[in-house]
Amino acid sequence: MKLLNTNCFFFKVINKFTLIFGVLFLVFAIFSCEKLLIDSEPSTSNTSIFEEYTTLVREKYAMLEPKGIKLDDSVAKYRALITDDMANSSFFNVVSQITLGLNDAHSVLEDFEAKRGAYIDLRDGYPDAINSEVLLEKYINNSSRTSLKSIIQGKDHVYWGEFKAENIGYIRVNSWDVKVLDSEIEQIYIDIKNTKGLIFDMRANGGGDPLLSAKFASYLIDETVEAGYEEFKTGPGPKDFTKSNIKLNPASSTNKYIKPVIILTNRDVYSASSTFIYLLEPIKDRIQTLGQKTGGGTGSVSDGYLSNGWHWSLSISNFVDFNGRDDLDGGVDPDISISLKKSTSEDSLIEAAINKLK
Amino acid sequence: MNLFTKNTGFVFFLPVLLLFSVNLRAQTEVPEHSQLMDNTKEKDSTSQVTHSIYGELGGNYSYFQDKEVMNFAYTGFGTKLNLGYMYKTETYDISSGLDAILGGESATTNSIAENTLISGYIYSKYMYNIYPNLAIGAQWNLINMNVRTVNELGNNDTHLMVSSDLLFSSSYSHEDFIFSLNLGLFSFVNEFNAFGFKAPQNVITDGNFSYQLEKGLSLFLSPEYFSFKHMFNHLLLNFSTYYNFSDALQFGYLWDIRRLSEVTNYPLTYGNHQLTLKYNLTF
Repeated sequence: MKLLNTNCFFFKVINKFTLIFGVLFLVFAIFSCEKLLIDSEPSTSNTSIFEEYTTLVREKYAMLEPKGIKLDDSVAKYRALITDDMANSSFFNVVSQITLGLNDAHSVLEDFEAKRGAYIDLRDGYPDAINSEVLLEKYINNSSRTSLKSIIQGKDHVYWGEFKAENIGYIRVNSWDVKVLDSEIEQIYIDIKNTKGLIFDMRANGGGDPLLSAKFASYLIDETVEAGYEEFKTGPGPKDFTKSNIKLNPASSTNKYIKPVIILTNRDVYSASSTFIYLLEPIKDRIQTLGQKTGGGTGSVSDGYLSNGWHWSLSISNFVDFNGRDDLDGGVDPDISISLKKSTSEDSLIEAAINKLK
Repeated sequence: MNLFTKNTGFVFFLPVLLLFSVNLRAQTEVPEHSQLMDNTKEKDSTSQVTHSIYGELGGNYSYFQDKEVMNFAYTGFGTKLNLGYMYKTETYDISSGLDAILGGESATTNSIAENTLISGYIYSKYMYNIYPNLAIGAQWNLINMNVRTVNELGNNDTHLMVSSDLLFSSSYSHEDFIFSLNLGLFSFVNEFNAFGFKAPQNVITDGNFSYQLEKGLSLFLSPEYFSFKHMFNHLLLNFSTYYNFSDALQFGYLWDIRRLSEVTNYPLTYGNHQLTLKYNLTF
């Protein structure tokens, strides 16, 4: 049945109108829909940035309760100092007090444009526990004392081999950002397989890829280790956490190193290096730490930009060890506490470890 | 004055829908004698099958906002490329191809935050002609990958989303214009960063995080990292309009948007506006 006559003047006009203006309306409607979904222009005034950052800390930072941080009190105190017309440097100094109050080297605030940042100093109040010149000259580059191989990538390196006279293995990784293939890790453990003990020198290793540190650690065990659990923030509320049980499965290799191990530590042992240590913590009878209190940094980190371009990073998880300790973020004392003697001829931490493993 | 407000958006959209519905009816209510003629024509041409290869090149304007980690949005320009093949009969057509975007974006509120965008998807599409100028069908994006690498960031330097999507598709042609609308029905999505960490949100919420997670491509594609989404908790919408310059050459405007929330009130939204030239080689 014929309902409409499409040849009539009315429909010709409607058709043209539909085509030309309809397409324009559609595009207009599309942009309108988009505006509903995207909040593209948040304010970058000082007061807005302060609220943005403190909200971020409140919603994401995972250690407010374990560390007993009274964030609301700090926010109220520093909010009173903020005005929209204060200079950028003064404003940064006020906001950074919130960051520093977290007492967490993973949690930083940086203004890249002005080249300023808010960081805590892990070494503050601690003596040096490594002398790089002595380490290189007397041990690593001393072929009469050691036989070592290396992977060197800029400032990052891995050294491995043995102390010849004592038949003790040595691995030094100064950063978990170093790129090491699985086959190279296998080769490292093959090369030290016949030594009677291992010194794992972690000093000055401030972290990097925790998956790499876990891979190295997995060669030091022959059965699964239950290390504890990690509480991750999953939402903005103060109770929005979930627990992931943290365990370490042994490497699927025939070259695992199941002999005494001593891990050398200092205050710079942080983040992924702390992961390495707490993954092996339950095996105290065979694997021990020696040196100085670690830096900690047991939380995992998230980062991003505030609306004004400042870079933030925050710990968004807290690790609780197999004994229920939840205050490891500030560092852990070593099993054997040794100070570095101010000597130019030997590294007292390495010598103590050798004596222990002999 | 900002014309694109919550209210004006719908006010402008409604008359467009009305006009199109009137126009569609006018086009589909064909006079009886014409129907007879068309039936004869259909019988004569059932064996008509065409194959075509098409290539589409254009400019892309993209936007991106992940409220889990930022309050601002990124916008920027890039290049879009689409290559595909179409098998077409009188009653249906099947097409398959690869769509890719390469671009860069910068923050709308500061001059520091920038990212590099690489995205692409492999798709197959089936369309059935329910009227001479109206077709409906489905599109399956076999794998849709969207990667943004943000400058100067640490753990959160990469935002990744991998999905496999099934979309309802519709297409309407009028004179030299072709309008298409695709609406996502179901998707399997692996998206991270999560609210907290650089892992899929379901890995964190299910308590399955491990320091011995797989890395690289296997992490992106492992089934346990994907979560099921449907059209009521995940918006996936594509709209396109093409103008036929000739049988071979088309000018197109395309818009797509994707929005989902792994954490309530912290949505991820991204999309593209594209102006393209499409060339069809038919044989």
